[in-house]
This record gives sequence, structure tokens and C-alpha cells, in this order.
Amino acid sequence: MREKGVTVTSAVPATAAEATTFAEAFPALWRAGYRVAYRLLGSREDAADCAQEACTRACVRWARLARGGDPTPWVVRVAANLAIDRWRRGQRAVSSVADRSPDGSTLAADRIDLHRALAGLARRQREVVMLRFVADLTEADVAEELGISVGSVKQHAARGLAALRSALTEDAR
Amino acid sequence: MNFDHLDDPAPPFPADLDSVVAVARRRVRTRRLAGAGGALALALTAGGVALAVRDSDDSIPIVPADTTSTTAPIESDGNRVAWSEDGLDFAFSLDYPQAVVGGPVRASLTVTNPGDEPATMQPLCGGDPAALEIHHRDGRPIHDTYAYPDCLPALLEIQPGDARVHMLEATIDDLAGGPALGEYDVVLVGQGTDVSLPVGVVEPRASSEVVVDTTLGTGQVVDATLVVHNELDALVPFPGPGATCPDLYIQTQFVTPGDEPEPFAWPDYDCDPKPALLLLPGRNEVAHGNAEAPAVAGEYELVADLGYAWPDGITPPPRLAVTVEQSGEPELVVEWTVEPT
Repeated sequence: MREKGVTVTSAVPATAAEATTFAEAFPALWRAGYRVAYRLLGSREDAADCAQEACTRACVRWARLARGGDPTPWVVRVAANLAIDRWRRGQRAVSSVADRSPDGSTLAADRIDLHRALAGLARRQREVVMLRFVADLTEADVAEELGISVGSVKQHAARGLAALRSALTEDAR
Repeated sequence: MNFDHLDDPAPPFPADLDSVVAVARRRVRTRRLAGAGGALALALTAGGVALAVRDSDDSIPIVPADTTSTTAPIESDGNRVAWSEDGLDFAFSLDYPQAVVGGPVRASLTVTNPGDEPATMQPLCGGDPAALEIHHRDGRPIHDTYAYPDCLPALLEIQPGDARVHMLEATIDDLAGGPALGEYDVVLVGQGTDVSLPVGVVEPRASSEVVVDTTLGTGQVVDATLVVHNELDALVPFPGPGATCPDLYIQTQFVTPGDEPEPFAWPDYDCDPKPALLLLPGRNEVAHGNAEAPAVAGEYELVADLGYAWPDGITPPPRLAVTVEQSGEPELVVEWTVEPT
């Protein structure tokens, strides 16, 4: 029963070709998701959870994502959102081994400052800064992922970065 | 600015692919219909409904390779889609089937528990990039929004008879390269099955008029109302006062037919009007002002101005023919009473 105007789509890699494609993409997607989540959380366990969840969601939507080009920006965005949610909920696990290193306290403080500064940005600026600078995506990838022009990305990035620098400088004082 | 110093110096190997796929498969919505030792799930295919059998252990649905597994039945009247799942009834509907660039798309998700036992639902949040997405027909999202800025609990329990309504909103952004007109899908992103409804992105189309008494006395001051008739089945943004803008009001002038009005004297605000108003379909009173009839009786035309530039697609009000009649001096009525002497 498929009603006019209603579409129901699925995306679990149902065919071998799709599954193979997801399987091939999976390691790179997981690493990209892990990297941004770790930068935000500083916890291997939590970052791995975020990366795994982002990849699971990508798998669920794989048919659509694969049609839309490189799914990496999407996975990075989901992983970053998951990390931010986790940070907000205060469920961050005990700091990782890396953060317990001699300079761990500095890194933890940097992350707190980063979250605080990001929270102070306008929504679109925050998205652009997050994807462009925290996740290291290219301007073109950010534009594609957010559905805006590269010019808009540059504009939001410049303003967002200025605001971020200002906020981070204030935090450092 | 870079954040390389926040990287993990020794990142672990990626998680197990099989476990990721297994979790993803479990999230594809299925609905048990019947069966001892097995369950039936309805699956939508390009050609219609297909039945899929899933394992009796109720863990991993066996979905035909080229089909989409989902809940069923799905009913739709074009602007609303409803389905049931795990003992809960879901209804996803759009407030309006059209939208304009820069305007909102509003939708609601109603979850009702028709049963006798509490039931739980998966939240549409938790870092998902969107609970409501707007897609080109080619599948690429152009915009999305968070439905829940602060994530809901992991599982949402709904008591028997209870209904919960979640309001969702996304905006059709003004994309580079011009307005993105056409047909889009508004997608409610769930846990595996995405349900979508169509929305048509169209140019704003609205007429306006000034409403005032068409017969006035000389020198009479009356209220003039600017009415905008939104001809779309959509919410249309209309400029309103921003941080430095004055309140929205209109100025009026009476001119003899064919004459041009004097330039309107608007304050020189450094003003950035915001789309502060949303025009509902149909009649909208958006601003008021005073209209002072001339001192000389005659036939006039009333010209109104808004101060802000008229938004694209909304036509300014036409001149309004007004008859100005001489206001009479108050009559002095003297009553004489003659009493017989």
C-alpha cells in the first residue's frame, strides 16, 4: 500500500552491493566520526560510542547517503552532534588515558573552553565552525553537508571563527 | 585555528562492522502481525505491499533484498501520514502543504497509546542530525533542524490513552543561486524508516488593501488598516520591527484622482527589518495608521505606504476611492415653548 505523496524509505544495506559499499566505507567513516568525537570529549570510550552510533545511523540510511555522494561529512556531523549531546548531558566518562597524561588537565580545560565558546555561537555559525575547524572538513564539504553555498560557508566561518577566538581568549584570561 | 592538539595520539581500530550492521538491521521498523514461531512484517516495495517473514527469535528481520521494511498500515490523506508501531499510533502531518523561501515548514508528530498497557517509543534525538529534514527530490537534504534541543530520555513511556504531540519546524533557507522553488520532501527521520510528506516551495503570492470607511467627513480622522491576503496555503514571512526599526505602521495621503502623493516622511532609521510576522493563509491585518480626510469635500484616492520595502510577491495596496463629504456645522436647535397667558 503506497499512498500518493507518501514515501517510505529504508536504508539498511539490503543488497550485497550496498552492504559491500558500506563495508568498504565503514573504516574511514568510523575513524572520521571517532576523531571529531574525541576532540570534543577526550574520552576514547565515549568517542568510540559516538563513532559507532554515527556509523550505525549511516548504515540505516545508507541507500540515501550513498546516492548523495561522500557520506563522510554526514557521519562527522552526526558524531559531533552525539558528542555535544553527551557533553551536555554530563555523561562524559572518566577522561581517557590521553587526558590523564601530564598535560591532561590542560587538554580538559581546552575542551571545556571549546564547548563554552561553541555554545555561544549562532546556530549556523556553530555548525560551520564545528565542521570546518573542529572536524577539518573542506569548505566544499561543509557547504554540501549544510546545503548552503561555499560563499556562505566562508562568511559564517569568518564570523564564527572571530567570535570563537574572542570567546576562547576571554576564557583564557 | 586548529584543534590537532586535541586528537587522540593512538586512536583505536574501528569497531566491528558486523555489530554495526546488526544494530542497524534491528532498527528497521517491523511489525509483527501474526504467527506462532514466526512473525510477519509488512514491507513496502516499489510495486506495493510485500510480506516478509522474520525470525521467531524476533531479533533480526529477514527483509527481502529489494524491499523496504516498515510498519503498516500507513494511511495518508496527502498532508498526513499515520502508522502504528509497537503498540503506539503515530501521525505525522504538515500544518500547510506549501512553503516559501525563508519561511517555515511546520509539522507535528502525534504519538498516542491506544492500548491498556504503558508503551515506550524511541526518541527522535540523541544526536541525530535532524528530526525533520527537507530534501530535494534527489534525496539531498537542504536543511534540517533539531526537534529537541535538549535530548529526551532514552525511552519515552506513554501511558494508556495518553497522546503526545511534538511540534517540529524547519526553514526553507534562501539558498545561493536563487530561490529554490519546486517540490520537496519533508522527512521525519526516525530510527530506520523515514516517513515523508511533500511540500511545494513556491513564490510568495499575496495582495493587500487598505481598509477604511469610504465615505468620510471633511477633517475626519479614522483608523486605516493594512490587510494582506495570503493566497498560498503556507506561512509567509512579512517584515516587522527589528532591533532598530519602528513598530510597523502605515502612513496615508488623500490625493485627487490621478495625482501623485507627496513623498512620505519616514523617520531615517538605520533599520534592518526582520521577517517578524508570519502571514497565515487568507486575511491578515498587519498594520494600522491614521487617515485624516481633507478639509475640502470631494472625490479622493487614499494612498498608503508601509515604510519598509514591500516583500517580493506581495503587492502594495491599490489606491482606494474615498468620498469626502462636507461636515456640517453643528446645528443649533432652539426649542420655543409658548405658553398661553
